[in-house]
Amino acid sequence: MSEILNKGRLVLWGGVAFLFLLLPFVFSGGFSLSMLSQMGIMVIFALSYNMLLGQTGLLSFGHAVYFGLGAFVTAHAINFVEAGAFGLPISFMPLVGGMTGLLFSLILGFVTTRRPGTPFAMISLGIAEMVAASALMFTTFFGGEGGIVTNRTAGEVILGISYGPQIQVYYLIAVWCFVSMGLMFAITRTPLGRIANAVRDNPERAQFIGYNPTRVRWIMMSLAGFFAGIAGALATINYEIITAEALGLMASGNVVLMAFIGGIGQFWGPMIGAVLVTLLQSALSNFTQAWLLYFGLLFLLIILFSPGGISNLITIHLPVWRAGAVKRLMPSYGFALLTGAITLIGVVGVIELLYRGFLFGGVHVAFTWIVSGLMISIGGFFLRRAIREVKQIWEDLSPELARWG
Amino acid sequence: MEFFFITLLNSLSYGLLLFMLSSGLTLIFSMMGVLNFAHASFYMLGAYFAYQTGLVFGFWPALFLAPILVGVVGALTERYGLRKVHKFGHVAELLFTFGLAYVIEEVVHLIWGRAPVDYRIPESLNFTLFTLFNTQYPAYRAFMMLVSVGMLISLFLVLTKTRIGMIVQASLTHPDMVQALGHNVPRVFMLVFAGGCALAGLAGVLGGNLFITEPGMAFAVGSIVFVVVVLGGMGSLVGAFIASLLIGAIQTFSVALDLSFLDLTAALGVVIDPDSKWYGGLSITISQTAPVLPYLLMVLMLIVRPRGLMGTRES
Amino acid sequence: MRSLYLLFIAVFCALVSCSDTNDEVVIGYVEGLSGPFANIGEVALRHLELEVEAVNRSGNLPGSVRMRILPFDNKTNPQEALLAFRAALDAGVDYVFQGNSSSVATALTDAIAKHNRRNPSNPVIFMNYAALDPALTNEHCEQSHFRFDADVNMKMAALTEYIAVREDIESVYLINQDYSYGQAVATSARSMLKQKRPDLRIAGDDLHPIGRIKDFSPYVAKIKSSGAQAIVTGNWGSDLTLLIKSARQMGVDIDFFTFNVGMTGGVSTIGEAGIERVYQITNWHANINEQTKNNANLYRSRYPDVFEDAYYGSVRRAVRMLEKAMIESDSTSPADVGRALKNMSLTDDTGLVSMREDNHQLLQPLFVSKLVRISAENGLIGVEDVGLGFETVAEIYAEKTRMPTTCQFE
Repeated sequence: MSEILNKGRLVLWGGVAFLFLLLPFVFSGGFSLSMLSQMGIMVIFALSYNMLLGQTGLLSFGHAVYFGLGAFVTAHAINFVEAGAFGLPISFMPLVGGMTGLLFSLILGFVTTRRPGTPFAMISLGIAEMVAASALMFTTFFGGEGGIVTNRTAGEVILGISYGPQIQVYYLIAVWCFVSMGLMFAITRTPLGRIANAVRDNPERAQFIGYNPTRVRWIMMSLAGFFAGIAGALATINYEIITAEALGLMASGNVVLMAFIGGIGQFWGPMIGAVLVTLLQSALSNFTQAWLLYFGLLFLLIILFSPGGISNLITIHLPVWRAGAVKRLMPSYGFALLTGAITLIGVVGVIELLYRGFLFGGVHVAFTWIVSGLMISIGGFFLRRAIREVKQIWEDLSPELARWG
Repeated sequence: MEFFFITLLNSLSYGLLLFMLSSGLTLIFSMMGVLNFAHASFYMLGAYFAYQTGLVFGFWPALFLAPILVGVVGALTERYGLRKVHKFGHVAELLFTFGLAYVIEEVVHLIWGRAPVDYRIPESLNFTLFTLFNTQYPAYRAFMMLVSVGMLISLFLVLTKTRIGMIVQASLTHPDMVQALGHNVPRVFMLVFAGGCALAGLAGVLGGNLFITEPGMAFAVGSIVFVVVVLGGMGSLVGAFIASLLIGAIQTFSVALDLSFLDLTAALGVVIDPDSKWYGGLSITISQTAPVLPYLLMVLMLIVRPRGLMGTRES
Repeated sequence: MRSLYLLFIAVFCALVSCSDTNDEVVIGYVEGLSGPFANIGEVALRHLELEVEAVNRSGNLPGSVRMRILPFDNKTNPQEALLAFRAALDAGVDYVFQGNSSSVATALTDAIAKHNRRNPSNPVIFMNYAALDPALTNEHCEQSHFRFDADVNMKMAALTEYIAVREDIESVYLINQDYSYGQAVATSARSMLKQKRPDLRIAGDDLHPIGRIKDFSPYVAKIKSSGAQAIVTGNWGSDLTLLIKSARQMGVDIDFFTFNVGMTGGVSTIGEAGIERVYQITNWHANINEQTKNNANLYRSRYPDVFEDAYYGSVRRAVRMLEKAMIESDSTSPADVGRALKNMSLTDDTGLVSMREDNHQLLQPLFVSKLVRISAENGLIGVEDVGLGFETVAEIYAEKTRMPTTCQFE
């Protein structure tokens, strides 16, 4: 226990709690508040996904199944509450979603976790396809195209909390997000979490020291399903509607992107990914129609140049920071940033031109083409040099860093 | 009888198209261990390239040009993408192709727009080959079957009878040994990847005008090709061939089966009221579930026999 | 460029929450503007833009107010649509336009109604120009929702009126996408045909998964062996095109009664395969009368370079009725305008259209039209520049499409 709750960690978690409390005062618009709520939901979802991919080494293409099923059952539960069939405060509805996710991942996990790697990925894909297809066919439970509509103000008003205003929903999500984050972090520090890492890295050895890898994968998958269900339930409460899209392949693919962009190597990586991806999807899409393309390109760039995700970029700089060598990196970073920005503007210019050229046509098309082309070629040329320089400095630094440990 | 023969022909032609699509994927998978998520995107590129080159040169040159172009794109992908990611492991490679599928779809939006393009069957093949009972059988379908059988044979010959085929086969199982013998294994990898993509491109050239050329066409076949590869056995061309025909047959013949649980319960003497809450779920017929059956088959196969029909290893 | 500017304004407003100025009515266009269905969203946006420009040109709105459109991308996803709706609220939107995708429409109807109940001082009205789910004007109806297209049941009622008089058709085959919309088409077709043509044989009733079928030939073989003379289908997009192409390739000569063939890209991909064989049921097409031809030409001359042609008569009616309601109520506030809209009538290019007070569904004449080759002799206007166009074969009067409703406003 002492390892989980040391002083530094307490300060850190306290800071997170304070941040959650404070955010709505800084971003108070209706849209910002909705987006913050969505981020909270996605943080839970992405973290639960990372229990599979990052910690247990199970690449799943069907994690949204548990999110979606949790959400649908919660929606029906809220409607039962509204009809007076049974009473459970809305604040505890995420437990319903969580239990649903747990139940389904227990069942499906039992048959799918026997093998890691590609067979698991393919099974999860197959199951996701089947669930998504049945969600469209069985309209009684999934509500057809319109989905299931609920009313989050169904429960009794407790302490003035009706869940009418979005701010109350935000704080509900914040509390559940905080609790789930804490629990999931705690799991990584338990013997179970450690053994899951061992199963990921070398199942034979884990088996050799007396743990059944299949059992460990099964437990981890069930727990991941539990937290995904919580996220799904919160989504139901937040949006008051749930449709078949929520458990589709796109949603499953999205969480893979989130976890990977943020970085699966660190516990907090997927959180960064969830926040960034939500921000990109909601904000970038207001600026440009091509946001999906930028999004895909960002993903490819990250896999190519920093497969550990954004969190890894941060972590590798910590030793440099401790060694006090950041100053030596700065000039080359600045150079790379400048040339990178020039190239980027050129690329954005071309993409936007192509999109808009087809849709509207413009006057200065030729001019923009030339300028963008120039920016890409010149920027790109110097960017390559900048990257070489950065690499060189890193190589120079490495013996020094090794000394610092 | 008429229905049976026509459906048999249809299932054969659909199965052969599936085989064209999945043979490349199998080759790539067995060699590099990468399940290429973007494979269906290369299929789509094949259709679009054929449309574009067809506008300039006509269909017949496009039939050869488009797969070559797709192969070039594939080679570039391998050289500047996958090879870099390779050192980070299979998950990173898989996710790279996953991201690539996103990007290719958006680029297609960007260049050709979101509406379907008018890629047509060439006039020279747009006639009725024969009339069976009184259903017409289009010549283009026969042509497509001919091409895919031709492709199967030549692929088989190249892999077993030529020097390069031998090297490819050897690199499949013993890459280090092949490298030690002085062959450039990375280049063989690139070649195989490009070749696999070109095969998908060829399928696109033939499928694009028989069906429809639109940005959603990759997503529509994206996961079914995985089913074929997994079912047939990872890395087995023969397995992929059998699995393709099998899935073609399942999907086409199950359409004809209008049986549902209602019939089952009726046979047992229980009649369910159409107003019952369960009626909707129970009235689902086998034909309705036709497209889901392959996935069910795949999941069952992975659970029972993870190496697939003809595969020799699990992953 | 104009849309770019509008997008910019929208974003700017979302970030700094612009105050709603008094001389402008802000129309939020919450539609899928990225992803696979973005082209359809773009098409309807152009329709909306054309009509709003016309309203602003005539300058009849009370207090010489002008209308302004702000587009918001809902990514054709219900949850994203709710986020987009929040952004629209921040930007001071009073009227929301949406129509592509019933799932998004359901989400928006519900969210707007809840918003209005929770913020009675700042109500919003939802102008639905294309979402066809009957529930929206029945069990899910709301005071704040108005529908300007006919729903699935109304269209099917109109279509079956026509099939009832086509005595040469003795058997039909129903084939639809397996989700709520396709299921609704199949159910209503079955019950209405049974009632209007008891002698008609329903040769088959198939549901297939949406967007997943590459090869429709097994279905066509099945249809062929059933001996049906016509197909009734609610399919759209590639599911419709592939079905028609496949039938033509196998030489199955059969009539297609469709709902959505006129949607962007439909006619040009089906092409010759559909001549004289493909029918559609719509509230508008270019060749109804001189006025509709005129309106079609207006669209073409406003957007000379775009691929599609005028399609959404319902967008036109929605904007024109909004204008009339504002003038009659002498107000631009949604509360007053909503009251005026409730039982409003308007004479539009296809005749008299009127809003039902009991469920906020527009009643309008519907038209069965057939895909034909255009020529100088028949003087028809074509679509998508492929030499094909639609010719009216039957007009169904608005009253014929009045359906019983279960709607009870709260």
